Amino acid sequence: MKTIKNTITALFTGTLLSVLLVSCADSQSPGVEFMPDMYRSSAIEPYVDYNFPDSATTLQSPENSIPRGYTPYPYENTIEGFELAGQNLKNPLQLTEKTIEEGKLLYNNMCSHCHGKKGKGEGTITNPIYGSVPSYLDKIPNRRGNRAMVDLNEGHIYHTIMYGLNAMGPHSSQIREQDRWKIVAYVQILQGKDPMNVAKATDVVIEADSLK
Amino acid sequence: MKLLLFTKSKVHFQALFVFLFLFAFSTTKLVAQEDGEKLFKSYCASCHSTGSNQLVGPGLAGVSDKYEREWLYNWIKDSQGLIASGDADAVAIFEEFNKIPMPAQPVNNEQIDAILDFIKASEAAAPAAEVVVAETTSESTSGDGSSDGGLFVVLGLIILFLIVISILRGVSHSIQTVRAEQIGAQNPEERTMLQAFFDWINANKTIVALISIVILSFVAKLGWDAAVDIGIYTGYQPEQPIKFSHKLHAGTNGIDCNYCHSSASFSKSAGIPSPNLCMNCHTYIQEGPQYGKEEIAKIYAALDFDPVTKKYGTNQKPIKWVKVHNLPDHVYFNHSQHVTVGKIACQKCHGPVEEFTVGKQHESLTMGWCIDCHRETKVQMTDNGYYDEIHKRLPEKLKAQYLEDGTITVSELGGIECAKCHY
Repeated sequence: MKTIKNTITALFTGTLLSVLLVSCADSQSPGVEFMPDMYRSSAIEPYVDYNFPDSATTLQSPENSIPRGYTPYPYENTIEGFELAGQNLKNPLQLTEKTIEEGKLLYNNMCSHCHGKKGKGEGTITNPIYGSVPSYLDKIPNRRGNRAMVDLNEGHIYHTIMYGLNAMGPHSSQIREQDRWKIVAYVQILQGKDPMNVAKATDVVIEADSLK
Repeated sequence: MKLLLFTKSKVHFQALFVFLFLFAFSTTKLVAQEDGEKLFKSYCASCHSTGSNQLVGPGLAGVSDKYEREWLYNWIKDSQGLIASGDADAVAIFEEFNKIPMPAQPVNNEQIDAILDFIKASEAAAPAAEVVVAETTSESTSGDGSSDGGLFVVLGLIILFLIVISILRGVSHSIQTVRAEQIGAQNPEERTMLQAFFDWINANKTIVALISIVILSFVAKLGWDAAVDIGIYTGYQPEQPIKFSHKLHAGTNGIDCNYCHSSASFSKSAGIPSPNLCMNCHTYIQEGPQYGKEEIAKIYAALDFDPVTKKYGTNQKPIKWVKVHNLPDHVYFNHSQHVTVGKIACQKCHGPVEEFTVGKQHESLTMGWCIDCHRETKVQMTDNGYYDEIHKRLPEKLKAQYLEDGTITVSELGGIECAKCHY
């Protein structure tokens, strides 16, 4: 009699516990964590809430600090800056088939949803605001500095990636310097040009720095 | 008779003429509008919309009524000249739109007329389009029923069952009492429900044993499953501070994963995009198809951005996204190694994210899951910049042994060594 009673009690509590455990699996909670001291890093990791005073998990770098491998960009986001960049900036990369191929990959990732895979403005963005992106082959001279899209040179394109233009936002924070130049080279191909057959002047970039 | 015929044919001729005239007129009208659309797209659309919303420059709805045609010709062809001449309207616009100069457009008066006609025509078409948008937005996304419902139903049924049994027992007891009185026997002993239950158990031990075994194994299974799930967050789908939809951005609009998670290809972390990246598009796109302005306004609030003047304030605060994929610290994982070197698609580990309205953990991210993939995945042996040196040093004998099945997998190159990930 007593053993049966005990069995029943055990069964009952067991069921209740299991129900409790199972009901923890709701989509809002990650569930039970096993040994948090092994799961959580004692060193600082990105995107973990460390209860910093302004509740940010990624802190802004101290003022005037520059990232590793940073090259200053001396041209300002003005028409004059755009013109100067167009005159002075030259692609510092040694362009090969491989860099062009990398440029194509980067272009497809970072640009094609607005500018289209063929650069004709046939992007996949459905919002009407980005419904009529100009083609790189556009010959109407109504762009900045009364140029046509097809006439923009490498410096102009680089400057546009840095600061954006009209409805296009600045992309300098998400594309690295080398990658920007690879994209520039591929955009030139979409303009119908051949960036690989243009003589390279690698020291021009340094000259541009001393301009300021 | 002859006269009659003549007049009749003349009427026909007139009708034909009128018809031809109307036809010609309507087609020229149509052509002009099509031209206007084309011209608008190549000359105006990168800075202006045909509605009333401001892009870089003002929305152009009602522009023909607002200004004289002659003034518009002058402005479009040489806005800077008009400003320099001291025209009050021109200076006012220049000041209002942050002194961003509008480049002189190489168009003639006929083309400007066509453009303005197109703007007028799309104004007339706009209200209908807005209604369609409003209808599609009224779709609700609720339907996320909670799973607690089932538990309450079962508990309710058990309670109901017990009540019915106790009523039936009461009825049965009174019947027995009545019958005992009728035949003059002793009143039946009154037992509590629990006593009766234990008596029944004593009488039917085999059945009880069988039921106990079934219940026990069921409970054990539930308990086992729950215990195995400890530390596994599959299906974790927390509510985020902004109702960002991957389905809308990566699915419908076809934006590549790398556009926002740009560091995935060269860093350990794939990166949560900072709000400045949202603003690449949302400076101008201020209204979404599902929640209208409500959710996008949260980005503006975080950046202290004024959507009308397009100026940023100083009172900025971070957006607290909830991290979904949490790997424990004792395992090392690097995105760039998988994305750039291994050329693994994002969806392989994160599931069809482009179909998720709310982000969630699709895979289990357990060690077994990692190892399964490392056993199957083939290594690209040639032209692999990252592993070239390792491949060169791989002894020929081992290479031949590994290549017996035609491929070299990650595990054959040490991809399941403990210290590869745990160090």
